[in-house]
Amino acid sequence: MFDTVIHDVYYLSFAMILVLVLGGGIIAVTSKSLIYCFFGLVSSLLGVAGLYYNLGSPLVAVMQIMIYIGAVCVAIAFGISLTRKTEDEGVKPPDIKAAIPVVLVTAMLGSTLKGLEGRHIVASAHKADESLIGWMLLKEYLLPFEIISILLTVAVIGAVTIALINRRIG
Amino acid sequence: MNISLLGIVGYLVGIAALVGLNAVILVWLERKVAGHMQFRLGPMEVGPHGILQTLADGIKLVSKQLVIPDEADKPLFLLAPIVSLVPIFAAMVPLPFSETVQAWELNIGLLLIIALGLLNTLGILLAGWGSNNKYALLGGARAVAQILAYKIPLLICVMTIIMMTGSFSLRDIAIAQKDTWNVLYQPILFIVYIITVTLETNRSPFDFSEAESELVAGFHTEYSGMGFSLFFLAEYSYMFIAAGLATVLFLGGWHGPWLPGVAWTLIKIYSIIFLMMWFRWTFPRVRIDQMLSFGWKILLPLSLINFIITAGVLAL
Amino acid sequence: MEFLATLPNNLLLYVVVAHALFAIGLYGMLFRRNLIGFLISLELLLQGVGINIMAFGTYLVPDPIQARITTLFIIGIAAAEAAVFLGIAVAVFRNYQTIGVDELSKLKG
Repeated sequence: MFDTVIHDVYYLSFAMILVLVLGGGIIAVTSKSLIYCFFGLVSSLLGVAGLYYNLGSPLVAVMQIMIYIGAVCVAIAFGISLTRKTEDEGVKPPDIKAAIPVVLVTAMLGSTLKGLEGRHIVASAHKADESLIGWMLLKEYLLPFEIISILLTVAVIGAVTIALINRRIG
Repeated sequence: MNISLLGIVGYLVGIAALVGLNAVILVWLERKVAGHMQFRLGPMEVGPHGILQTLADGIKLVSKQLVIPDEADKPLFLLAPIVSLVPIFAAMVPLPFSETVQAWELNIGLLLIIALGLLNTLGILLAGWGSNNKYALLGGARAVAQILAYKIPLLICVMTIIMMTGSFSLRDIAIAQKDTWNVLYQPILFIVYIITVTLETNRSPFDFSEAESELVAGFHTEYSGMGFSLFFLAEYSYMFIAAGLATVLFLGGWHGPWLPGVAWTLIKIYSIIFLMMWFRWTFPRVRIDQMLSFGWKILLPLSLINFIITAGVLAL
Repeated sequence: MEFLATLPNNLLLYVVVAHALFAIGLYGMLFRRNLIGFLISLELLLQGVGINIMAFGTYLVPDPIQARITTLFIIGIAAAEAAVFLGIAVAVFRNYQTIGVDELSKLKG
């Protein structure tokens, strides 16, 4: 009896993760106040981390929380507090351009499902040995790893240079 | 997945009890330590040596009216203490109290605790933005600025220990310290870690977000009664978790001569919490730019040089 | 009910959720008035992409490590992009005192 109850708890928590992801996303794009958008984004990111954990990778889930919520959301919070102007927050009323996401994503989804027909699922979500990620980053994926380091350095230097206040002396 | 429903419910009830008991002990301890360090006695009336003072305080706080300001953002205002408090239940999962007492063995337990420690500051930001009060807003923004100062030295500190042990799992790190504690190998790192963790939990001398002499009461200006007590529950529980990490990473976890493992863990945790309280009544509050320059000009090079030296010694 | 119970192991669910996030992010990018709102929607779009890659890499490929490394790279690139975007947004606000996407139209016409 306890066995079915524990599975129900698992499915219930998975449903809550889905609500976090999609609910947070919808709040993030349709709310008038920018602060609500920000917290919708945070909850969506937390939900996506939960989905990564369900796909069998605790490492990517924790990295998602650390990098996105720890760095990107903090930077966005700084950006919001530095550029706050309550007149131009808010969302434009939907007009004919709202058809673009719908049509585009339906086309993408249709072609994906068509391409998935007939392919059989090789593996299910299991926890692979994640210490291999460290090895692969230094052996086979060394070039993308180094390029991403250079990219991050250049991006940070560029962002600081753009936003720098030049104090003139004299 | 061989957890049982009884296990989950037992864990939740146990952690709730631990959080509550911890807050009760720490409130009393803080006031006694503050009193004795200031050459006075602290609470002595309620119960012998004021032990039941926290109970009296708790009854007072719970029975206060929840005042919500008119123009405050109600959902954000009410959500903020909950956002601060809930990640504690997840962060206590990988913490080992002894060889056999640990909620669930996670491969990346250490990273999970560090990642969830950030959500406390997000709760403070939520409170600051939600109350329609410029003091609260300043307190919230300052708490987010603190993240910049401590994040990188903390991560480098933790990475050095991981490099020495070779595993992210807290249980392996504690087991690897069977003969010598890590603090004997890395004394400077221990000091850097204690300073970083004081920064993370917004304690003095780095408690700008609730600076009583500058910002009325910082981010919890508009909270009364239950909201205030929830924020303080969260702060004391994060202190407990941070001190728990310090014991496991540096002080050898549960190893010790005669007493059982759980007792040694609790003794070590409360010694580190006592150290953090000692800081509060010894150092004056620093300014934000002083804190930022301290974090980036002193803590970061120190931890980086330590990291490089450790890597060099381990490679030889 | 049994179909709902097999959902967490179903590839299609993750694909649909990823496409839904992509659509929500795209809608936000078209309709938000603020550059920071634009950035928030952009981050949602990148989340959708990440889930998609992770789901395909877990279910259709014998070795899931490649998908995890790719997802970590996507997370890193999104962080770099957010940093540059915020630098530009702060500089624009300092020079034009506004950050609404309709007012920033000096290059038009």
